[in-house]
Amino acid sequence: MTSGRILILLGAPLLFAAITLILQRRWPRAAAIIAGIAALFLATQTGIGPDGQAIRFFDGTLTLTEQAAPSLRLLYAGASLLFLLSARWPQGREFLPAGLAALTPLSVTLMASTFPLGVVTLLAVTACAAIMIQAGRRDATLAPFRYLTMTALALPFFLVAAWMLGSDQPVFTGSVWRLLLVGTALALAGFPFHIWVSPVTEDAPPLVTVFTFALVPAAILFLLFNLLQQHPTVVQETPFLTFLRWSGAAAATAGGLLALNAPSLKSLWGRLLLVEMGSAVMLIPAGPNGQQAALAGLGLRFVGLLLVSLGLILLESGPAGQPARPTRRNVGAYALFAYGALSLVGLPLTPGFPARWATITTAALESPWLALLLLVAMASAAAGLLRWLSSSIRPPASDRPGLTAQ
Amino acid sequence: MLTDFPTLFDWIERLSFLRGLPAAYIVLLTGLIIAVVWDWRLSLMALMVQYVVATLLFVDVLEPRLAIVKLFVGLFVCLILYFAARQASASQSPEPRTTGKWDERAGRPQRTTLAFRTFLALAVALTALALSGRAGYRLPAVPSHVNLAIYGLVGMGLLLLALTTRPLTAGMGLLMIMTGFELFYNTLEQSTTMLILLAGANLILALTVSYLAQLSSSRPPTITAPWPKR
Repeated sequence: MTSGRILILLGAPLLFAAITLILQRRWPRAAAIIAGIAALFLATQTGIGPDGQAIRFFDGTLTLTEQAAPSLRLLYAGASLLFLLSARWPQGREFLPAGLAALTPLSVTLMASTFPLGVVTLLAVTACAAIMIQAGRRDATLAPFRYLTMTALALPFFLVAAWMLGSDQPVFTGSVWRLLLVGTALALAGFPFHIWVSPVTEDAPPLVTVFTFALVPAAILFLLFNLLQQHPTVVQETPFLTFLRWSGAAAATAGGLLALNAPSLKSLWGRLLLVEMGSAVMLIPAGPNGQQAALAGLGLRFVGLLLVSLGLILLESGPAGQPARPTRRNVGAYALFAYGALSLVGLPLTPGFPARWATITTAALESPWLALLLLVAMASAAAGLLRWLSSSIRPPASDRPGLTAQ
Repeated sequence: MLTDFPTLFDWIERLSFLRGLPAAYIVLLTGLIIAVVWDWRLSLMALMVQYVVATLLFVDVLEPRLAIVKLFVGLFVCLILYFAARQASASQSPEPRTTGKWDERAGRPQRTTLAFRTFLALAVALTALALSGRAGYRLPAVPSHVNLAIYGLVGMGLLLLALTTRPLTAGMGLLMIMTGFELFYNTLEQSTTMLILLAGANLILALTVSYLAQLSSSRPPTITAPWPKR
């Protein structure tokens, strides 16, 4: 029964969130393994049954559609992997319960029949993610608060735009695309609302960053694609796409240029991620197969982010908790970080390249300047990464013979 | 007799002399107080008054029985923030209020003086007053006094978000923006579902803000060396 599956997808994450909350204080590894297995089980429950039933949820319905199923599968499988990895490398006491709890509103967002329902539920996802980002640390709250603020501010724009679209009045066409543009830029870190990305990568535990930037955007993109499919006039009759692509290109360029001068490994990660996120925003409305392309892009982002996060975890697992200089022991961790980072930049022979190539070709059709901007962003991001790696490999100034002699 | 005890609707009726423009001015004034005075007790008191008076504005755009929901949500939000602020202030290390160089990333007060905040808040209030009166800036289907309240709430909320990263204070700004938005949105969309969903959104925001407020203001835990001292 599909409706039974829907209830499982909605209820089980909350149940397991409560279980892991109780278990993890004494048996954190067992809690992580249980969370991972639970999420994996839920990934197998995303198939669509023959009856195609749905359940009522407030005024709308929650339906497990053919479109939603792949996104749900990616979501649960990805979360499962992250939970299992946290058994080996704990990511804070909040990660498992908040991560599992976030899966319920994420599922609602993906299965919601109406855009407003999905958008409001997204705020619950953000709240869970903010708690995971803070990870119980008693210090800076800038990163989770900025993230929460941006999503909360996107909410009014989306809701008013959805109301205008629902009212079917041509007079609103001029306002709708502007509202959608600002809402999308706020929610997906388009320029100039990209300021929360770098603080999150700097402050959040690495696997939480993967969750926040690879799994949560799947729901946002899904909602947007559905809305644009239901109301094609936004795409056909307004400059929404053009502005969205320019916003994405500007965010990617900002990330690439800022990567040249990253003060730390984690901030470098944030800036490279900005290149990836900006180019993903540019790919949003790429034709009828755009949804599949965006989902594939998110899958590839997940791989890149996972590689970077594993590299970072291994590098920071030393006694000082800070990345050590490359030695024979940690060269593997450096390689993981570098390969994952190159994947985020989207260079050839990395998992991120197919998505980046698709973005470049799509952008070139719109305007050669867009493609050029993205190439500049990629080149400067790659230069920033190489600069950082070369400065890591170079011996410190105090070890150089000339300087020590003085 | 119990039947003689005034209901919430009676209270709204008794406060009817505040309905219209006075309510909009009070909302603007409370917003100004929250933006200027960063003492959590005064701010929270102002926020509570704001929610009560905003209910009178909601009565102008919604059915009264639906507008009451906004009052309850507002009071719950204040209650959540009150517990968080009290807990946070109890564990806060003694530190000066608004002077000196402070770390922004640690979520502590920044270097903004009372005079500077007052100047900015007055500027925002005047801008809200000026814009809401112009025909070109009138929001569709919204009464003129509600229009003023919306501009005031959103303006003050954005100002707070720009001035501080302290979760409690900035969180109040975020909640003010939400109230302003709801005043507009409920004029357009009056379904019960959206009312419930937005009520839920407000409570989620308040809970998250209170969680962050407690962590940002707490004294760091005492670190004890895991190895024996020589």
